[in-house]
Amino acid sequence: MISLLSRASLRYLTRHPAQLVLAILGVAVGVAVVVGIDTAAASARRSFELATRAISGDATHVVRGTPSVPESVYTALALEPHRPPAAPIVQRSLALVEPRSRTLDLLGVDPFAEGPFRSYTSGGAGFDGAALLRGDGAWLSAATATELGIELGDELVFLVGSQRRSLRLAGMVEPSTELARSALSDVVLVDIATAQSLLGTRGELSRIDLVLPTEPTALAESTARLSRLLPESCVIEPASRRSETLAGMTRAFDINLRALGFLALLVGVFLVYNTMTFAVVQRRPLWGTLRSIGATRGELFRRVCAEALAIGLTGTVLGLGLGLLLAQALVKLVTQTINDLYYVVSVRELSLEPAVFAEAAALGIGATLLGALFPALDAMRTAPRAILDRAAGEARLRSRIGVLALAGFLAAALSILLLRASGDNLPLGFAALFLMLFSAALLVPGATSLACRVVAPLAGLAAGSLGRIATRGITSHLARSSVAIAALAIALSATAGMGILVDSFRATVVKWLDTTLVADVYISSPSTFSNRESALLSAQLVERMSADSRVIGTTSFRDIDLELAAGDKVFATAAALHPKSRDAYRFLEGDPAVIWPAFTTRDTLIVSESLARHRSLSPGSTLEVRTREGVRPFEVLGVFRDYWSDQGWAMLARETWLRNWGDERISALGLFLAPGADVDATIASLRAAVPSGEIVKVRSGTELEAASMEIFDRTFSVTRVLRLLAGVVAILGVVGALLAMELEREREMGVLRAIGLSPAGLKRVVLGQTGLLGALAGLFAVPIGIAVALVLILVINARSFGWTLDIQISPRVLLETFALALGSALIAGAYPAWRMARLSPAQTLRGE
Amino acid sequence: MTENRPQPVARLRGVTKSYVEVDRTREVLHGIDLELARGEFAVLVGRSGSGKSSLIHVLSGIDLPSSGHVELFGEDMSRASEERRTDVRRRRIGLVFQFFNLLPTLTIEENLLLPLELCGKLDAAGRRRALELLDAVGLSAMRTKFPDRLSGGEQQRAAVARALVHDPELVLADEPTGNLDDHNARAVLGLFSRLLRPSGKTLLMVTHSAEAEAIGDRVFELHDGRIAPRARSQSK
Repeated sequence: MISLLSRASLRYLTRHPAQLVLAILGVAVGVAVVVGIDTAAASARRSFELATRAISGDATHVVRGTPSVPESVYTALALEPHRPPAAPIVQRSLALVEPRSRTLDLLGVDPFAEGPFRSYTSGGAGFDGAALLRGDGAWLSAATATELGIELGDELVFLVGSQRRSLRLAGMVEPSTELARSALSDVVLVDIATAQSLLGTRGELSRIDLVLPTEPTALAESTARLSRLLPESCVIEPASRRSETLAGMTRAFDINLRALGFLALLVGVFLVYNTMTFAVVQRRPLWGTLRSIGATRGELFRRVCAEALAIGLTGTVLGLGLGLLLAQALVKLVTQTINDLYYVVSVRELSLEPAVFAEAAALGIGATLLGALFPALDAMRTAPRAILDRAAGEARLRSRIGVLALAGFLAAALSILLLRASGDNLPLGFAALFLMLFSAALLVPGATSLACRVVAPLAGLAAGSLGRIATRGITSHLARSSVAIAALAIALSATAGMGILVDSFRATVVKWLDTTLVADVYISSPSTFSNRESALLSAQLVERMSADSRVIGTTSFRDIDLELAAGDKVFATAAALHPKSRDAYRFLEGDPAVIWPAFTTRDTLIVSESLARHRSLSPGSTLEVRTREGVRPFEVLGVFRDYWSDQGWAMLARETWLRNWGDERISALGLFLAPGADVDATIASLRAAVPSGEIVKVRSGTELEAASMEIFDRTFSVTRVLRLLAGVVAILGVVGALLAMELEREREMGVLRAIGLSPAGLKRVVLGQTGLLGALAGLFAVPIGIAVALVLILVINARSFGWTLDIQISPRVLLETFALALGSALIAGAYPAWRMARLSPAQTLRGE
Repeated sequence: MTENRPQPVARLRGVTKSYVEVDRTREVLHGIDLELARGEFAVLVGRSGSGKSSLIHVLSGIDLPSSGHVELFGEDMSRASEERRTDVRRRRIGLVFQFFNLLPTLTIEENLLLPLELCGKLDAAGRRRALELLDAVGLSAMRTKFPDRLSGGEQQRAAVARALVHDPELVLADEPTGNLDDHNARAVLGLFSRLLRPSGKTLLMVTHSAEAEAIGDRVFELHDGRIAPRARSQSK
């Protein structure tokens, strides 16, 4: 049977449904954000792992080469007497343009070698291996074919480099295992010769899959024996290496997403603390009565904790459900960013990881209990007489303002020390950031009290006694108002900090693009990645474009992956730079006068700031790079400012590339026009000159800059959504806080009405107070937001991505923050104001 | 009733008041008829729950009667809008409560100035009057203090001063001594006599106290929501 204490507490909660709903919503939104972000990121990661694992099949190792594996290597392996199972693979992500736009992985296999590797390529229902050998035939999973709305015999048009190439649906595969079904959803399967023909890579393989012994001695022996058969440009590595490398690329992105999720939860904790404080403080007379009639401190403590647990549990369960809905929306944004910047992945279904749910549940319930702990201790420790005296709690807080402020300054100092001492450690950087926000929260009661002391006389002058009532109401309920102000200020400072970061980043990138994009016209193929020109231009096209009479100079680029001796890869560009293009590079380290002469003549490269930071490179250090002739040292000449890729990249001279790899194709071309040439007219005629069947982008520098900024803005769309959610949590918090604060003042408001204040006047008092509360939160959010931005820019961004950003604190962001604080507080105050104005003074005073 | 009899300050005719509770309607006032003449001190006694506070609320326009008419200063308040009732209350009525109900966020002086501000009389004369009243109730020295620094008796004296500061014609006091010890109760009752009688103000005081009953010109008893005149108690 439910105890009377429990019944009393349950009735209290159900009689204050608005507060109860707000508390539950606060926890739910906090939990939902964490679940949403983690599930979206985990789903992208899981989809990628599944696809990679399924495509790798049972391969334990692979032979990789730079830039590719010569087909002769496979022949050599096939002739080896003790040869292990081996299968040649040609694989590339391609843009499908018809029947609809989508990215698919082209997987070219040799059906006769597939047996030990992938079951779906050798025996799945509906699969006819021999049919693969027929010309332009392609196989899709039945589900993918249905999604694309195509039937057997229908055409699939891909963009290969700058050219449209077709395949015909020759069959459909119905994989028997879930893993294979998942992997094949984004795969178009073709014969290896078809793939080579389609991609124009005859004689080249992407890799050779191997099954090597698992026993270490046998593995070492086998690896050594096979390595002897490989040219210098090839290497044997574990099959898992590629997925590890690619997953590692998104590590910083993942950590940043998680930190944003935690930020929302942090605001949620404030909200819960706020709600539980109100719930306890409002019932001081009840606690007093209960203590007077014999309830123990422990019983009161347990009661408050049990309520918190009930709120936490309900909010968490709701949050888990909301989180999944949020994940559905976020996964699109997350995969878009990953596809733009890192690797191609498509998420077919959410990956529901128990660890994510457990973590979110622990955070939701834990945060609620943590939020309730201090109010519960407060209720427990107070003597019955003092509990009956509402002012006692306020008096206690007022007496502790100094201590809180001191603790706040100490926490701020500690966070600065932690920032300095944590080196390049990203999680510690976030810990310091959260400590800084906590220190700000501790300073809020003192700052609020001080600010109100300044504002009260002004409010008195402006609005008389009503102004004073509104102002002093904040200080007289400081225990509640300061928590509401802190929650709002911290949520908004976090959004302001992110806003300043994005603004600074954007301004830096715009400035950088302005100085970097010096050519008049840029030509490139539509690329799978927005920051990499991985597709190649045809020689005919390059020749035609360069030969235009208005073109007086060119800059060419070839985007490549440099295989390092250690087995990992570095993005790189082999460039033939026009002098104007050279002048556009801004070196953070190294002297251009030394760099450029050595750039083309020796095996050297220059590296972007991010790459230098990630790999601790500086002028004079070397990168061991696998070339056609084996591993060679490449000297780093300089470090340049760059924002194309957070992984960073290296640039080497086209001459160096040709010397070591001998591949003349290029992936992008910049054209410099004669003085006075009409850029738009030239672009129009160049577009007309594109050979038929080829698709290329011919753009002016301005158009390229606009396209780059579009990707930039898309990348930050996740941040925008999370900023919005943090704002929603803050508004929920402030609505709850104001509602509870005003409810507590019902009698005071009733008296005002009784002595003649009109309902409209009462509304003004309530809105004046909530507006002031919001204005203070906005005022505090500005300096905290700037501090957050500085940490984000100088510490978190630098450690995650290695970029130097010009700090740009735009008055717009600060004004927006202030306006948002004021606006949300006024919106939040509207209901209490309306409610108070409708309040029957008789009802309020009837308590007498 | 004669033709040259002055118009009453307040007149209640057949006033009823009922409250809808969860499963029933509770009528707390049944057909109340009452007139308060200018300058009259009327005392209303009755047991707890007899409807005394409800009567004060209806009379002051804080609440509306369920039926019947409430006329204040010749105007039918039971038909007046919320705004009109508020306006009449802020200009012509002073209220004193059992639990003082001073605004905790205003100093004692500011509490007194508030009614003046609400009815647009916060001028030099108004401020002077507030100070005089504070002096009259013996709280000049406490004027800059907040209510929580004052004793119950001091708070109620301040509340009486607040009720009078805007020079109302009718003062309604709901158990003004109910929360005070004998000494303070006597002091507050003394204030009523001293400050209201000379200026001819009307007082309706709800009380349990025989001593308070003694200052009334007329005493009414409210019993189960019905009002009836009562003979003076022995203490008069």
